[in-house]
Amino acid sequence: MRHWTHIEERGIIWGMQALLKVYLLFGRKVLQVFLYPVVSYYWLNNRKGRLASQQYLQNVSACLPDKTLHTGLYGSYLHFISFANAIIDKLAAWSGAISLQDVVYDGRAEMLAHLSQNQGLLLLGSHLGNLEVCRVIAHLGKRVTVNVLVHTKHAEKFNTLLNRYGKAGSLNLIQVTEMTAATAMLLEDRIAAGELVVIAADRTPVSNQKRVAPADFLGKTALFPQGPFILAALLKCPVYTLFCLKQQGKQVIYFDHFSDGLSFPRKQRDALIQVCVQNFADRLQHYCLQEPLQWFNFYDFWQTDDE
Amino acid sequence: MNGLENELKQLIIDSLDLEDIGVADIDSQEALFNEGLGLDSIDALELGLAIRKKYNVRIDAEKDDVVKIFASVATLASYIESESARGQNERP
Repeated sequence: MRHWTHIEERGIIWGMQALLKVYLLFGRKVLQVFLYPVVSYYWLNNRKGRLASQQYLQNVSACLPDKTLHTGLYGSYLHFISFANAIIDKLAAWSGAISLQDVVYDGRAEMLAHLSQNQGLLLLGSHLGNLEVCRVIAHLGKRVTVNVLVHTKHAEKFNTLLNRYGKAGSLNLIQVTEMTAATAMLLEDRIAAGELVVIAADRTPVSNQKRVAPADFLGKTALFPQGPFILAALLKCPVYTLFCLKQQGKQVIYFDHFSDGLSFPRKQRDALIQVCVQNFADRLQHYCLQEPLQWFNFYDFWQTDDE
Repeated sequence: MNGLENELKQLIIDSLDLEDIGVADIDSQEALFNEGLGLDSIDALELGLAIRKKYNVRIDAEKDDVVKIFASVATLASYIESESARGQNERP
């Protein structure tokens, strides 16, 4: 199976635009009626996504002996429906339709304590749950600027939507396909200014596929990127993980302390990075088991060979 | 010029923990990354931040050719010299 960056997000933009229009005009209930045909079309046309979904569901289900989870075709359909719902939430968040009342925080006080001292933070996110809902954290008490690192190739489509419906506000999307010294300086400035930098730590790099590390995840070995952890070490700032899950109809945003500052001295570099990657994988698994259907990596996550 | 180049070599050795290498072992014209000194992309980032801290030199990803600037100690030194000269002219 191919690397995730090679998988075309076919038709997703027109479908989602249509759904968002319906949502903004008629609300969520009416939207559900339109949701199923769009998702069915996408599901039928995306064999690789279906297979990846079933593979994931089998792995996660093996770690959840007490829960009954559909792991076959029907399971993957439910998984796609869950994905579509999350995209609507994502668009709703961007367009301002999700208000602060819909959001519950876990661990916010600790994070605010850092921010009130003008201490910038690096937040490690993932494609579990809805990272974009974090747009609302830009309005946390005092205004905080949130910088989200995104891969250029994938950000363009999303930016098109963003520009049409959203207001950029105090959120910066920083497009990074390759981490350069100049990018590191830019991010160092953001951190020094007491801002947040968010980076997904569950997708292997677009350009340099050597900078990956294996970790146990849901019972099998998967590859994780080293980049986010290396970046954390360069920025020398506290690191938190960030997960936004939809639970009981509310968006719950979890901030969890990850490190006061990572450091990878040359001689033990690979071993230390490995430990960090595994710690992150463990935390990802912890939240994954809470909301298994909110896993939104629809490609072979456990692909470890160089195909 | 040589003074700055030697200073940069020492900075490279210190900031990257290159214990088994001395200033004399680094050739100013030699490629810093991949071949030559064999530094990797993490080293490049670390070095970039260390240089900025010490020389207060900004490198703009969009305007500057980062690969050329970081090609060797010699290119780095000339970039830092031209930038700090410009900085002195611009700032009162």
